[in-house]
Amino acid sequence: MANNTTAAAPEEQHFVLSHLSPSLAQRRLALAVVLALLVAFVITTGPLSTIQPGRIDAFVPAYATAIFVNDLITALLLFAQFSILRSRALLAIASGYLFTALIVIPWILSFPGVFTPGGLLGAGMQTTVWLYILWHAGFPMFVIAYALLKDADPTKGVWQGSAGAAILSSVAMIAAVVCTATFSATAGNTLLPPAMLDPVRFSILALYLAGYITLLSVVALIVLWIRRRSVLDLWLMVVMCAYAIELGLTFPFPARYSIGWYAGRAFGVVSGSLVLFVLLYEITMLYGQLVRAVRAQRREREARLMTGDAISASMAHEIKQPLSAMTMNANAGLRWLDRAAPDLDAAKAALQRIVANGHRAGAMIENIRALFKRDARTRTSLDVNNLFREALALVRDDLQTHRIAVQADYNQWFPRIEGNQVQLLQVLVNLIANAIDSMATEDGARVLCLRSEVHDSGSVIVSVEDTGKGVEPSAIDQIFNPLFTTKAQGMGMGLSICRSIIDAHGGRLWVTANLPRGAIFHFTLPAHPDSAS
Amino acid sequence: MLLSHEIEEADLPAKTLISIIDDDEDFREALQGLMTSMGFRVEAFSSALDFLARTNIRDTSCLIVDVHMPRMTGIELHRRLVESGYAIPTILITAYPDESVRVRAMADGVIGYLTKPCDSEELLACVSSALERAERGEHR
Repeated sequence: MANNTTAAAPEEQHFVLSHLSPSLAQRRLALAVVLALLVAFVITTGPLSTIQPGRIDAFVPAYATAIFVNDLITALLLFAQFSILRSRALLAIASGYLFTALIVIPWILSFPGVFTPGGLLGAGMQTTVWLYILWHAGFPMFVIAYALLKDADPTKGVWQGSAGAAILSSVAMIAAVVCTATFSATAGNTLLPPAMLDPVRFSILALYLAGYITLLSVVALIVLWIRRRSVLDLWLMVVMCAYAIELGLTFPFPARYSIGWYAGRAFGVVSGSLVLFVLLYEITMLYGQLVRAVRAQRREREARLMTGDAISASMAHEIKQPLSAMTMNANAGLRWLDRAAPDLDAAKAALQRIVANGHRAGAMIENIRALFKRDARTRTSLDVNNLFREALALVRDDLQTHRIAVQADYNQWFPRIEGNQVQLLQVLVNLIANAIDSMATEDGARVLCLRSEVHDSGSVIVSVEDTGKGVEPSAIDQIFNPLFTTKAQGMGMGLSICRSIIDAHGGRLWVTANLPRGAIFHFTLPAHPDSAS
Repeated sequence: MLLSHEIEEADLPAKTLISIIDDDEDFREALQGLMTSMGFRVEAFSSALDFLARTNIRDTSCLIVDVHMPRMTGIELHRRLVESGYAIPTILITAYPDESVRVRAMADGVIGYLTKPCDSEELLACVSSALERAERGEHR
């Protein structure tokens, strides 16, 4: 169960079936299930009604086991949802399923002929049927409680205390109720009104009671219908329909081991399984969404980290072509001039091609610079704290892999800055990635520190500090040059591009040594005009 | 003398034809100029399909082809020629060097795998080697 001390935010609850609105397909499926149950009811009371199947010894234990397992798992899943969403309504319906799961235990133990001819626990002839009545009267009441505790506003009806304590209290209460019911139905079975005429036939009282419970199920159905909103509401309505149909079979078949009795038990298994199947489907869907979200986040992180390399590779390819042509033309020109009879026209043509190649290379560089400028024009007011959070989220896996501690200086009073979010995030991610690489092979404490301070003249300074191998004093001036790299792989364009981005924002990027070891990369950015004071 | 492996014009067979295939016009012109300055007959094509459309493919003594081209790459062209029985010595040139591609290309019988901007001396050394193989008829 989740240990969160706060409930899920309202926007997060729309992913769970207790708040998700049912789609048209789901409504149609639910209607189809109800119609199928009605058809089965009609067939059972019609063409099949004359069949006398007799007692099938294995049926009752199998039925009870199925009910117990289905309802217990459903209860566990609903309690798990309660622990996340803290909805009182979910606690009520989870308790209802726990109630039905636990009460089936004394029901099967006391059923005549399953373990002993008269049933265990000192059961009498009325014990099992009264447990059944309590079972089928109790669950609709939990459903009504669920429907009444639901609220349109997901922030209301939220359990404010400890989820664990609420769950334990519910379990204890339900267990106490079941134990009390069991004791009453066994030790006090002689005091129970006669719902059974003999071990097989039901009395008139049983039929009245079945009618009352059917009515209770219908009331639960109506209350759910009035307050229906979610997928869970939809399938609980189907469960109540199945309950009503199951109990309805008591009237034409007022005896155990009749075809109607077996059909009623089958309806019970169906109604007990419906919500479980829906919950399992929801879990599978959420798992798929989680996997897709993690993959998308990983792809975004890799894309952001690779943006620098991709840009540099593209630039390299575009510029290589005219440079290659220039060297070829120069060589050709030299050859023409070095002949015994120099071919001046051919040499001149080669030189003219060199001029054209040079212009083309220059135009390509201008295009790439214009791309930076165009993107940099999309500037907004940004919160440095959010930039820190986003950048750290993108590199979280690498930080954990390399066991790097993070100290981030979140200052809620920090002025907002003006900049292009994508580019500044790229700068931060690039600097953090360099810091991680620098610390990855170092022994000792690995600490990444992100700081922000207000600078004079209305600008801010952001610092990315590491405890890695640092920058050689001889390389400090070259480290921002294109193609300079101390790494085995990569073209060394990352810091050059970072500097271009910061320059385009009117700031400055530089590096200093961290003591006792490591490096600190600083960059300044202008504060947003609205927060410059 | 410019190059250590310079081929004297007098040594060139009269029918020595170098075919150049590159989709970049500037590079194609520059390479054509360099090969012409060395005394070769040169034909230039902007795509592998244009080269294959020639009727006299066997006249080519050496093929210098860009690796990355639209519709058919240089490697695909070399394989097509080998499968069709044309034993033309081929030199690949690329702006995207890839070691795994280079190893595969050399295993397929390519004479050279050069990176742009390539050293002209290295290119001409490959051309010399290609022409020697063509003379001896050793290229498979």
